[in-house]
Parts: sequence; structure tokens; C-alpha cells
Amino acid sequence: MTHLTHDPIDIQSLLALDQYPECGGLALFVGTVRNHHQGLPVVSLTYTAYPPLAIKRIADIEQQACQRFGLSYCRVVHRLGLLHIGDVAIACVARAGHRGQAFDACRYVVDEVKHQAPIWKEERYANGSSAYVQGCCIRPDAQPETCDGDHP
Amino acid sequence: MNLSFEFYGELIPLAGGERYTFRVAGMPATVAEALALLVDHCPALQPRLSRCAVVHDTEVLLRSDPLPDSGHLVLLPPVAGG
Repeated sequence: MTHLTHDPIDIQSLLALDQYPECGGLALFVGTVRNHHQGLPVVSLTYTAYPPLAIKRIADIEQQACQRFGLSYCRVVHRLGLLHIGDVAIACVARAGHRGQAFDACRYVVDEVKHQAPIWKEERYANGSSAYVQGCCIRPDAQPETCDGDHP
Repeated sequence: MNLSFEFYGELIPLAGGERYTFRVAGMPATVAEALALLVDHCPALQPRLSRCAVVHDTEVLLRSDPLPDSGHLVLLPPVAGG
């Protein structure tokens, strides 16, 4: 399975339950489309990406997480295209010997993907308007404060 | 010689499309010089450029880096996945 997909994310296949018998902890994060943002009613989202760099960065983050947290397995898939309320936007699976590493890794990976992968979210609101969510600057010489508060 | 740019996210409506190409008499030496020429053609981009990453394929460039031989740059505004 690729790191970016226009198709619904198959969470079950991400779990890799038939592999990694040394793992006793599996953490799964699933991000879904919510119906509001900063007080505005959201009716849908469109995700777009710059795939060459997004795929590379997600793969690098997975690898870093495996080394940092001692994971046997880490996998992230992000959805692209038009999504409606309740649709799965991102799924992350981390598998480790114990639950602590798996939980910590899962949070780390999702945060890093949100802040480092070139993916953009355009929200459509109930009044017919739309706007891109302001996010994190990925210039290599950017200051840390260039990550906006509405994209935690 | 052509200088070409590729846009993503909120830059697309500001640039009037996903790509913009124009002819130059001589290729700029650095990424920063190329961006300055782009602003001459697309002034609406100027307020956003300071928070954009400039990329060639999968390499994120500094403003002081030499312009790639292809003369093609990808501009990535702040990201907001997840």
C-alpha cells in the first residue's frame, strides 16, 4: 500500500497482524474529517499533495520512528482528494514489544507527518466558501514559530 | 531560456494556475534571484513567498542555492496534512 491514496484507507491491511510475532503492543491512530474548524461549519475537505516529497518524508518519518522507539513496524497512509465528514484522512500504525513505545511512536509520527509532509487541506464551509488551512512552513531555514496555531 | 514554476495549495489561485513559465534573457544564478523574477510576473505571490519552501524534485533548496540547471522550481506553501 502506498503512503498516499485517493481511495478509502484499508485500515485492517495496515495492521500487519500476521507478522511481527515479537510485538505485544499495537497503537493505531485514525484521523477523521470533523464538521467544524475555528467555529465554522465544515462540510467537506480536499487534500492535495506534492507526492515526490510527501512520500519520501513519510517514509523517512516511519524509519526514524522505528529507530527512535524501537518499533518493529510503522506505517502511515494519508488520503487525498475530496473527503466528507467522518471519512478517514490519515491512519498510522506503530507496533512494538510493549504498548508504551507504540503509543509514543504513534503520536510522534502523526505530529511529524502533519508538520513535515507537503500535504494541504482546503476546507469547504456550509456557506459555500472555502479556505486552505494555514499550517507549518517547511523551509529548511524556517523558524519554529512559523507553524500556525490552527494546525496543532 | 525558460524559467518555470510549479505551485501547490493556496499558491495556485494566487498564481492563476498550477504552472507558470516565462522566458528570461539569462538564467538567474540563485533560487532567490529566480523568485525575484517570479514576483515581477506574479506580484500576488509576494506576500506568501517568505513562508514557502522551494524544491527541486525531492530536494528542498535554500534561497542562496544555485538555480537547478532545469530552471524548474516547485513552490510549497505551509503544509497542513492530517
